[in-house]
Amino acid sequence: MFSKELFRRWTYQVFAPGVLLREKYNAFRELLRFDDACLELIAAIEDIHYGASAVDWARVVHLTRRLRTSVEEMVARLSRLSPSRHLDLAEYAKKVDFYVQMALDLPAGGMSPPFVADLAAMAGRPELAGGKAANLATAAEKAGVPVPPGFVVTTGAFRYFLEASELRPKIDRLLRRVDLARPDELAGTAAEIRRLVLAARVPPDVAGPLAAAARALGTGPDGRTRLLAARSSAVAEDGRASFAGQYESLLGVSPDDAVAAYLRVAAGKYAAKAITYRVLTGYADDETPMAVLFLPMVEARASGVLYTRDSADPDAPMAVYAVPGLGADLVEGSASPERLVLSHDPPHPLLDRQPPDAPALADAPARRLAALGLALEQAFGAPQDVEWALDAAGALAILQSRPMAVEAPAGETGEPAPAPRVPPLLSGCRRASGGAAAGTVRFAATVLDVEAIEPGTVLVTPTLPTTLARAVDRLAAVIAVSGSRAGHFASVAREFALPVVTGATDAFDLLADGLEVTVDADAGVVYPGRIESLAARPPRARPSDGSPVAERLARLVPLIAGLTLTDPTSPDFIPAKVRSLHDVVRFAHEKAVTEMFSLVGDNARGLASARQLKSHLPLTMYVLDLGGGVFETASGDKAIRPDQIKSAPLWALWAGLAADDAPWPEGPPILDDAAFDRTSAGIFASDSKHLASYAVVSDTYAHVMLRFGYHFTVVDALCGPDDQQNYVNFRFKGGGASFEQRTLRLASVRRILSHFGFSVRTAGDLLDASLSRLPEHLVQKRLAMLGCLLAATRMLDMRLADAADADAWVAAFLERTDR
Amino acid sequence: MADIIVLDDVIDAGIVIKRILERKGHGVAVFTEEEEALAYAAKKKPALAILDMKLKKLSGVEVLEEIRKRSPETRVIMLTGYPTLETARESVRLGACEYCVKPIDKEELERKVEEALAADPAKG
Repeated sequence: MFSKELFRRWTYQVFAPGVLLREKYNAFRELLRFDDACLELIAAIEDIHYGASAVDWARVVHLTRRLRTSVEEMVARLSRLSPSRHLDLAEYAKKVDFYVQMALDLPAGGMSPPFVADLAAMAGRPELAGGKAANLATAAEKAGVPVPPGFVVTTGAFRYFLEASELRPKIDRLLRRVDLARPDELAGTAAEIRRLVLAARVPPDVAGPLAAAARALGTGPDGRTRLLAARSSAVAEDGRASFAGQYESLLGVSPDDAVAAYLRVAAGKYAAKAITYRVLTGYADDETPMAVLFLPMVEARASGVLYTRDSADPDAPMAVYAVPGLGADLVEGSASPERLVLSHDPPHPLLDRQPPDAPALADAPARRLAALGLALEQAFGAPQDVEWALDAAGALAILQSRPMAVEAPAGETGEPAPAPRVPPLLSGCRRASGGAAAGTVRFAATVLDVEAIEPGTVLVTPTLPTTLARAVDRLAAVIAVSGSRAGHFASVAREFALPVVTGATDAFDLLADGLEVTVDADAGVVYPGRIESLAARPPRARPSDGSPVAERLARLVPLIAGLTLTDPTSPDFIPAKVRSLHDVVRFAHEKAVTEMFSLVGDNARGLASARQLKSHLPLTMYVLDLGGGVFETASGDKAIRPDQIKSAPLWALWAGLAADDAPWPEGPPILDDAAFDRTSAGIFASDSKHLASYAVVSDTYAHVMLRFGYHFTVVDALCGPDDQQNYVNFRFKGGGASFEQRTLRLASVRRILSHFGFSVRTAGDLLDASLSRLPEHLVQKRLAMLGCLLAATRMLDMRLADAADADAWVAAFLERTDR
Repeated sequence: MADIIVLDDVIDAGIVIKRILERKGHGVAVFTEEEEALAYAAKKKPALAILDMKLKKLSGVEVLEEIRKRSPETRVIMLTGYPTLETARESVRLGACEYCVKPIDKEELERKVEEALAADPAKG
């Protein structure tokens, strides 16, 4: 706010004779501020699209809304700046804005009754019953397997509940804060949303039928009351993404407490791990409404999981994991179950059993179970991951059936890597999720702090808790003492191609915290150090590829960030040609700058006018003096010399740019190359103003815009006697080279700026650096350094071939300037 | 070369579109009356219809619905100076392949027409 006020004062002094001119100048200054905001928002949205940040869809909507507002403000400022020109810009900007709104638009989901429906009627209705319940109903109908009776509180009921309790906007406001790069904040946000949901009242239109259905289901065939299980069944669950174990299920619910249980399972949609998983797999919150499935509790003698194919191998046998009683501990990863292997083909003879004694599941029911599994596999047309229970009477019930998470077959990328000659630290582990990766060992012997897990961690843990799914994007590999591949986390790990081994009994003794290791989960081995032949696998496919959010972003981002108006000299640089909000921003900024130059040029009397700065540098620059930025001796001159610059910040910057040892590389004169390419084919005037750089200055202020080859740079600095008011803002964007080279250059610039104490942010190919509250002489030194840096970075992206080049270049630059 | 109809209550607007598309080699018939356009669509089954939203008796969405009945193979582009998300959603739901906002320039119109003609007719 300070600099804005300062500007008012200066502009008042300078333009006092003409209120209109002062207003225009204010509009220009404000336009520049919105231009800044727009470019930042565009870069932030691009970052999401290109996978540099993983955020909730609500954030995309929010950022886009802010961008639309800022673009509108820019257009309004331009019309204040030049009221009689670009009249059609507002109309075309509105049109692009509408296309953006269309790309953001999510089809509104249904929220009409029935709110409660019989499970048996839900076969093939995942949009109403969620994935889990719809699959279970299909299992009963198509595969004819025994399934308990039950009912579903529908997705329509969930949407109606959110609407009736006015939760949607509140939840969206919280969800837009979600950024998986800040897991500690996520936990708080998730807790806040769950509190909101739990505090809300289930509307009577839902609670009434729900309570009635629970009473009916809670009365067993013998007339006695029986307990219920309330299980999550969200849309998209058990489909393209498994959501295995991400949502809460409640067991042993009294029929009288069914409404409260419903609320808790519904709130489970907003557990931190469930939000993380949903964001990583690319769904908006509204696309995964939560239905809740109520089933009677099975009094289980044994329960567990059946894989109808034990691995991705199409000839693999079936595997059953069984524990006595109810299987909650099994899927939570904390129990080590018995493991049975059965032939895939009828009559499913038992091939193996571990451990061999005291079976929880006898051979005969195991073979009956295998037959049910085969029926399910045939009905769904793919290998299934089946949850089952065996009741006291010896009857089997199927509780869930979903497609198995398919791992990429080993060796798909070519011949298998030869076994390293290094002796392994651990061997004989069991693969829970395949693949190989290197990373740094972290022990989590007792308490697991999921937030504290850093990227590249090889976690060593006693078991495989489901909460680990929250860190799936940061983990390199997991080594567990116990737990099995039947757990939820193992299933999520397979989906994300994260290597996980279990049965590493001596892991805590044989490994050490901080040790670098390579985990080969396929071989069940852990090696010391980083073994490139194993770790250098092709990058994992992102699970959000092809997701609804990814598809919407693919439509949205060209409308936001695409740039078709690249050349201000082209006859196509007109409002009718804007195709994106970025085009509108580019057009408005370009025309505003042009307007400021012409404003000053046309009104020479009594005003400081923009004058060309003549120097030996191959750089065309105009200087607009707001007062005290140029020595009085130059007052009558049409062009000025560098030694006539009085503005402290511009003088310092220029000193760096023009320093004797500033490495001006051989090359074309410094202009906007994108424009130059076009113009040079015709008649090229090297001091043409639209290609030039400019500086708006006063005695202590400089706003310098340098067009530098294919990139442009803005330096905005205040450098006066008051330390607290001094600042340097620096922005660097664009480039003509390949994305990798631009990234390399940006990283080098970032290292140098960080070295000099700038705080630096990058987003896409945009770099922002700032420095503030420094003594005058330090600001001058930093500005001189920036001048050297700008001279040196020109076309740098064309010259940096690899990281070694970049290292050498950074070292040489620091050697020269840090003294 | 495709058979295209244009329906706009302002004849001049239709003529402009006709000129642009004829230069691309398409055959274009312009209508200002809904009934005439619908009768033509039923009989000739054109490849593409470009419909203005504001018409004399019906709305563009109503005409779209009717064309889908009389000539399901005809792809439809909606064109309007008064866009709303409601009519956009409704148009997409009824099978329009594009919802375009006026003013539309030559290059954008040509591109949208190419895309619509290349689109899978089964998807509308």
